[in-house]
Amino acid sequence: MGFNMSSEARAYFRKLSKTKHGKLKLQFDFYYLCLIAGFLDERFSECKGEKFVDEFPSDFLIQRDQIIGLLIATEISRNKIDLKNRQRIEGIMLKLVKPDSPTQLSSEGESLMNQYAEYGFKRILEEIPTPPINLDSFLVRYYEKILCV
Amino acid sequence: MKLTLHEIQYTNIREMKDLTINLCDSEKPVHVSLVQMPNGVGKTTTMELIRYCLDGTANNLDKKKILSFKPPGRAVKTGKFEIKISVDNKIRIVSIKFDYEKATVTYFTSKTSTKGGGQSRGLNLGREIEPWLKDKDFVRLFVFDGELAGQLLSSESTSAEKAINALYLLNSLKNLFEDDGEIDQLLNDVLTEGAQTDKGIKNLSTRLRNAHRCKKKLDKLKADLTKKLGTVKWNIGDARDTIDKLRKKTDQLIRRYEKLISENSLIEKEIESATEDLMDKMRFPHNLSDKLVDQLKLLATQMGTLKLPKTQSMEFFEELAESKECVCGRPIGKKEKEQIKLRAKEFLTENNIGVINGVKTAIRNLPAQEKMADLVKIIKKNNRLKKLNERKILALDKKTKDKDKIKELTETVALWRIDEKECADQLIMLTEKRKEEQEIMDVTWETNIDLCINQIEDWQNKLAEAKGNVDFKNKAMLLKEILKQIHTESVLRLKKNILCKTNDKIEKILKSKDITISKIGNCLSLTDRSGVSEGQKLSIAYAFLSTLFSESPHHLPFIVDTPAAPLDLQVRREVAETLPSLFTQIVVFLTSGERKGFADRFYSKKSGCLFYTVSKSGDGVKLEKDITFFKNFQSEE
Repeated sequence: MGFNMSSEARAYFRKLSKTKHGKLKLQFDFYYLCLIAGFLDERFSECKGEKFVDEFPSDFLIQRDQIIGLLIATEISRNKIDLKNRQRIEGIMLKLVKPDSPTQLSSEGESLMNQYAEYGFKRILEEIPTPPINLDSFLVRYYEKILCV
Repeated sequence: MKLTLHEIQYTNIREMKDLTINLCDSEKPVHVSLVQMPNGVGKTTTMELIRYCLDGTANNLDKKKILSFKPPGRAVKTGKFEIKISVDNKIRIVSIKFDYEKATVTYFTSKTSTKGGGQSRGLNLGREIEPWLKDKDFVRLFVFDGELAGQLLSSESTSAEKAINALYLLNSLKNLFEDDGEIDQLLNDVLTEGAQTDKGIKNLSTRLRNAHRCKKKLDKLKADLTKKLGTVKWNIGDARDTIDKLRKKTDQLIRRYEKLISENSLIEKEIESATEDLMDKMRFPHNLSDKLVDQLKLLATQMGTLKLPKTQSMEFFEELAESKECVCGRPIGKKEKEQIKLRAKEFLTENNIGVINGVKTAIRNLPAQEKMADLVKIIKKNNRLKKLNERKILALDKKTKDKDKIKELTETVALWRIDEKECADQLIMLTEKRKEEQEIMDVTWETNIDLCINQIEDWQNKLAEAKGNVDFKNKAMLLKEILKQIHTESVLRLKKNILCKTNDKIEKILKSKDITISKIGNCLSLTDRSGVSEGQKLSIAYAFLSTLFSESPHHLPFIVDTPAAPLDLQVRREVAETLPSLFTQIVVFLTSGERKGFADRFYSKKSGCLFYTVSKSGDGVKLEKDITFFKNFQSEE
């Protein structure tokens, strides 16, 4: 399955992907910013997007385990699982992780990630309705409207 | 000649429906009349119309100019401007009637003090005065035209010389000896008169008359070309001044523009660098939010507490299900085998355990959080600066459009240069005196003034010889030469005398010895200076004119508008003190802004001063003759 993004989200970030800032050349950067917004709200939306990458890009390999950890932690919190319930926590892990997958996530894990990212995109769209042109202004607004609330 | 202005009357002239300004006290003109008018009420119009009344030039006005005197928004068919003057103690009333329907003007002159009585059509001020007044330059000296102040100092102008000739009656002398002057005309009459029965003499007389006509035509052409050349040169000089000023201004703007562009480039680099740092930090989830960090830490703690992931893997139980007995030694039957296999699915595979351990390690060893607030502040601050600079750049962009104006002016100057060269070439052909050059240019007596004069002289000689008038002709020529020398000597002496007195007055008015006139030629030349301010120009003009008037045989009023506007307070005081002592009558049209330093010098004078205020009232104007009103009037400008 890999990582998916809706066509609306791709269109929204299109102008930024042409920016001269080399650091934001990855589609995954936009996906990641959306994902974080979804994790923060612990909410997800149905995603009918197309796959844009099969695995975590090399620039995100160091952060991969943190991101998977966040997915697990968010799912535990969203499902209000008792943190002493070893069996259910282990069940969540079992459901989300698949070591032989390129993303190290099960298809259910990948699907959930994509849904969190899609919700996160909608949240961003609500706070920053105009498609961004400048990365600097976008990051400042993302920081103020998504992260600092 | 003694001229005084007694009254000004307007009927349907612009804002003035019906207005009379009486400049007399008991029928005698007062020494100083101050007429306060806000801008736009009619100072310049009044000055123009007074000049027309004296020099007769309203007859040359075009229709557009005539209709410009029509009251705006009122359906009137006619208008009238009238002045009552005294010429050598004889009262004259000059009226200019405007027909706004036909766009024509008509002069009327009345020779009695009763209006309408003895009125005749045309401008008839008397033979003694008309030759003077028909000289526009002469009228501009005392119905003072502010532009004259600039022209007196312009090297292209002959205003200074003209003013001296006009005021010291030297024009009459010039008229005697000039080519085609009175002596020439008399000589011509003598040589060509009489019953010319002799065919040869008749032929010579016709030729001489034709040559005189040709000379007049060439003189007029020379005057026209000289005037055109002067105008073109002045236009070029003026345009070049404007180009220089614009260039200076544009260069400064371009320097500012480039500085802003370079500042913005640095700002953009700072923004870029801060953005990259911010993005680097944002790529690590633990930097983004305390909430996420707390969740990860809690998960790590619980994994430790619950000993997750379990050490037993799914593979262990799958292998156990295949054994015959359990690790505790009890046998494993079919039922136990199925149960173990079912429960084994609840355990992670070994690979899964590896992944979970990786997650556990990553979240247990979270690096210290890097704050992003400072970077956000830097980006915001620089973005504000960038936008501010961009606005300035945009504003400068509009201003640098002067570049287009410079280009346009430069092109116009290039065209004027062609005109200048054509005029100069034609003038050279017309005035060349050297024989070799005349031959190269292939000019004849019909196209060259010098050759024409020679031709006239030749035919005069022949005619004089034929008629036995040689002696008379030689004496006429000698008389011309003597008069010419008298004129030259008179002008020289006058200029010398006027120069000293003018410099004394300049020093008195400007309280400085920095500005002096070194020479009076065709114009006034300043000592070691290329230019002066507008106020200084006006002060020099007042000093020069007041010297001319004080020594002149004419007694004329001095009529002036906004005389003090460009002057600073100290100079205003001096001008206010000096002017009244030089003229028997002064009429000043001024704005409320000129009261301080100028008009206020006259408040204490108990007699000999009139204070009028003309101001807008409804769709017309009203006149107040009251010093208190004058002092306190505030225009709505």
